[in-house]
Amino acid sequence: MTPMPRWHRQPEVSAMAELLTHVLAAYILATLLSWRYEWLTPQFVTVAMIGAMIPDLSRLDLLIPTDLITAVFGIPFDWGAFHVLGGSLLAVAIGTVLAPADIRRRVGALLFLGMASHHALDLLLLNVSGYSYAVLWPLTGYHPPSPDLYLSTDRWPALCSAVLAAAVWYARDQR
Amino acid sequence: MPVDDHRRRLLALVLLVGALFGVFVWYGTVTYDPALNDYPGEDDVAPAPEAYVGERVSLDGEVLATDPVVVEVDAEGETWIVTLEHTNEALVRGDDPAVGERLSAHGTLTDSNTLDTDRAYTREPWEWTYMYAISAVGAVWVLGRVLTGWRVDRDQLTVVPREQRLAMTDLLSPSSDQARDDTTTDETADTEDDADAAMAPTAGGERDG
Repeated sequence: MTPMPRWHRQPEVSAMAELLTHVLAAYILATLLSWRYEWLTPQFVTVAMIGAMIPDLSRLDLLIPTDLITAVFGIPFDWGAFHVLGGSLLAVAIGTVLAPADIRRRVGALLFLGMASHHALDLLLLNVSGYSYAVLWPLTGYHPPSPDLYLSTDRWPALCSAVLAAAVWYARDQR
Repeated sequence: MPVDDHRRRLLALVLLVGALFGVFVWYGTVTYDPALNDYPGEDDVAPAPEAYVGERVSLDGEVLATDPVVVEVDAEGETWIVTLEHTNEALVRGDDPAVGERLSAHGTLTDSNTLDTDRAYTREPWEWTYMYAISAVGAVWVLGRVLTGWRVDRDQLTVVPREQRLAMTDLLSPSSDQARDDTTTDETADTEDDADAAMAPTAGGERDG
């Protein structure tokens, strides 16, 4: 039997941490960098946090189901491309071009930072098959072994990152 | 901003959005490939499990019984009842399966309704609610920061940082003058800077970053 195309499959929920941890991680990273780079104001910290949301735009599937798009347009379609390198990079590029010329490189760098941190955290997730997702697609569809550190439904990742974020926020305020 | 840059930006935007759409379609044609550690899931298998006997598959379902472990898998509108063998030895996370819990399993399909389980983990149903709720908190936080810190320049089709960040409270009272900028109903390029300057940001706007 011919394998079914991926558009028959639901997004691999298990390969995503909850969004708050990702957003907090980007906040922490960007705020730490702001101690070194004067221009990195809270508004630019927000840019890194947006970058951290990019891969989970694949959950647009909840609003506009892939099956609906396929039914209406008769083409294969998968929002999941947001959650691999190809779609993530294009989204970063679109965000970069939306910024005015004088801050474009900074916006691009911070979007990329947030996006990369998202993938770094998601590659640590537990997967039932023991293998993670095709993070480098379309360069390769290889699923690397997953270290099985935590699940998207665990509470401690958000708790730990919230404590760290609070510490960083407090330290920044004291400077 | 020079006109040339504006045109090049528009062209780049159109090309990038087109490429992104192309990537969605392309990714939609990708099939699983065990050689790449990518195995079929319940949406692939449930419509015709007999075709996958002898293959490694992953599935996720609700526990119906525990001795032996039986799960009900809902996929693509089909209900697939699967008996899981060796589940307790295969558990990598979570409690022993209990009726009503969510169970994810990976193993080899030995017949169309039996999985020889290699790895499995359980989750309580409420944990999914937690995941979506906490994710919504993260999304709302970022949305609030974007609205208070950035605004759309419609003429240039750019998103630019506000001169002064708004306070979060400005977003919650759209009738106030301070939030008018967010509705951008009558915003034009020449009045934007004046409007920003006229807005009196509170100290909180600068601090809650």
